[in-house]
Amino acid sequence: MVGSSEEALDLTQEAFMRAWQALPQWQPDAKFGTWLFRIGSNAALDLLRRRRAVEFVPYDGTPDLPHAGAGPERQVELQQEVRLLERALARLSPEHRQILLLREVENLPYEEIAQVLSVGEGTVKSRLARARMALIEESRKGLP
Amino acid sequence: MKGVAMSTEETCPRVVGLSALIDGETEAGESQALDTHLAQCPVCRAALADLQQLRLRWAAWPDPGIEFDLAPQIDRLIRPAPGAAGHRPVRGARLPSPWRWVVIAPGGLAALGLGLWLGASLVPLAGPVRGAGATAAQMAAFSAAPPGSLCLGMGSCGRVGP
Repeated sequence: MVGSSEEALDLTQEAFMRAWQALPQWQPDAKFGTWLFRIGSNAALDLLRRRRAVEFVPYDGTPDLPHAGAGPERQVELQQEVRLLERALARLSPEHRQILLLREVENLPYEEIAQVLSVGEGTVKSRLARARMALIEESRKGLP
Repeated sequence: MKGVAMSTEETCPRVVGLSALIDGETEAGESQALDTHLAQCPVCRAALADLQQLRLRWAAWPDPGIEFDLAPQIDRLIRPAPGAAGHRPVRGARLPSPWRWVVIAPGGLAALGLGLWLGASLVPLAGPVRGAGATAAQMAAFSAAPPGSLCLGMGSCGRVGP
């Protein structure tokens, strides 16, 4: 979301601290994980606003090789795909990036995404569709 | 029409419905309507293929997990130094001052009453002093030789009786 593993780690700590401070306001009828995602998500957006991040900093860590069982050639292909995806993701708006990560990486259902983002499920559905189409478009630009 | 957004005026590709379709988040009837439409719309079929391809690329995304336990760091951050503002000790918590006296006062009074009662049972506060009429047998308890011990010589035994 923020493009830097160190900043992501700082944000994780900050999210837990904010959660600790806001714990009295947590309603037991709300799913704790969703509430925590909301705090973390807001913390990430706050950071992006603070640094006025129009430009997304490419991920600075070397990600683990996906599918460690795959052959070396396939691993290189997968790494290239991930890098293309990262670059395309970096060119999206924070809102589109946020909803894509909640769905594709965190695997949240629409209902929980709606709670995290404080929007209706219909908005989740349409925003996610637009974000996906934007990502497809950006991915095509990045292809040689 | 909520959910089943399949009106004839809708432009293709119907990305909102198709995106929900690959997530399994379509509403009642929407999925069937989309399937029917897909059978006759190459534009939507191509869009669905793009969305499915994108889904496959996400599958290669690495696990964003961290390689160490973050809990001790967070614990250190949320636990302020003793005596600092906001410090909330878990053990030995002190009651607010008015309530503390409600607990302490009856306890003190009970301790004082118990002490007085024990003292009074040992040494009566009123009545004649018994020492004056005490018999030699009663006073034997205060002899230098403990009761029942052998008297080795006159010097080691107190005189009992006249």
